[in-house]
Amino acid sequence: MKHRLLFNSVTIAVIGAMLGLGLTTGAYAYTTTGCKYSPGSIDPISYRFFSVADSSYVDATKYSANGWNATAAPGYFAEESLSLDPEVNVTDDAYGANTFYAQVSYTCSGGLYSGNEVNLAWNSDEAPSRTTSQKQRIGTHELGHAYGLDHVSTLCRIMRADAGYMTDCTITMPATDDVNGAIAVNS
Amino acid sequence: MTSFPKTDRKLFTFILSLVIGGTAAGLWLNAHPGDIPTRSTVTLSVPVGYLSYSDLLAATDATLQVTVTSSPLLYLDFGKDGLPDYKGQPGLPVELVSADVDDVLRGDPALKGKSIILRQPSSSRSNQSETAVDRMSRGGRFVIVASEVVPNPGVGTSPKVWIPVGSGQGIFDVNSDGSLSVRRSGVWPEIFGKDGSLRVKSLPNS
Repeated sequence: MKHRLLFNSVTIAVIGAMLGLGLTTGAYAYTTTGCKYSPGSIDPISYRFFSVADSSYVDATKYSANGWNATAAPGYFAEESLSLDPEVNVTDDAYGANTFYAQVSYTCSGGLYSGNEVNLAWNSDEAPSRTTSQKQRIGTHELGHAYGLDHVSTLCRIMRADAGYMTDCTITMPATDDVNGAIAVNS
Repeated sequence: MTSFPKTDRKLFTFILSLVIGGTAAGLWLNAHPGDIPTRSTVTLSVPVGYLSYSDLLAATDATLQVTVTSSPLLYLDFGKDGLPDYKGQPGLPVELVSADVDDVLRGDPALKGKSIILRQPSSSRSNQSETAVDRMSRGGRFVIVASEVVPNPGVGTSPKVWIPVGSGQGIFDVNSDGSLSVRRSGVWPEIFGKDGSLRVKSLPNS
């Protein structure tokens, strides 16, 4: 009798585990970098433009910030043009053609951004050839990194970054999975 | 002492087992993204990628077989003016390595036998999504599809450097039998392999 009870419990636990895995996997079309802003400092996430020569990057970054702000992601982005210590430092410069469109860099310590800031750099050797919507897509992608999201290979997610990223989908706003990722990291 | 009816005990056991099992599985899976609690500078980019090999060729200057002859030197790239735009700007970490041109498969034949400088992303990048698909180490033999560019101030002393493009798409490892391995298989429709479906070039045995 005891053995049967034990067997039943184990069986049910295994079924529960499978259900748990299935549910979690199903809601898991995002990956995280393991680093984020310190809790309580994302209302707002301030950003500032430093010597950005191409106004289209300014426009795309603002569009992307507003795009994230329109979602259920925690916190919000806000431009603070005079901030001496913004949480996103935005620049543009020439880093070579055929390399990358834009990038985010940061230092991580204990799972949090050092200095509570990330650096967003547009590559003016490459990004100018992109359309307005593609720049918006790139900007939204980079701000997704600021939210602590890493790349995915799933189609039509803003955090995708493979060769077909520019052509397969036309999204410029975060997809549901992207937003769920931002919520998971920052809530 | 209150005792549960037998059916309630079974139901309780069922629910408890289900909750414990499901929670444990969920926790185990969610533990993975945070496995790296502390690390140094991380760079995440949207790399330029090519949908076909012909696109890759069209965007570059040459296809070279090279042997890397030096260990990488790290530089911080601050763009055209070579200066930070704000206090604390980290710059783009890049590395330069020397390489001998063993053969010119496409491009200026005069490059054969010369030593060139290759620029590659720094190894200090994220070790998660951006792996070593676009890096070359000393002693390695590679076929690279690359462009020659003028480096920004402060990035080495050479007037020109070569950049293999496509975030690893432009790097092919030369194996000991002379065959080539694709760094990022499956990223474009062309097939590279020993079935001869498409070869960059038949290379002599080493």
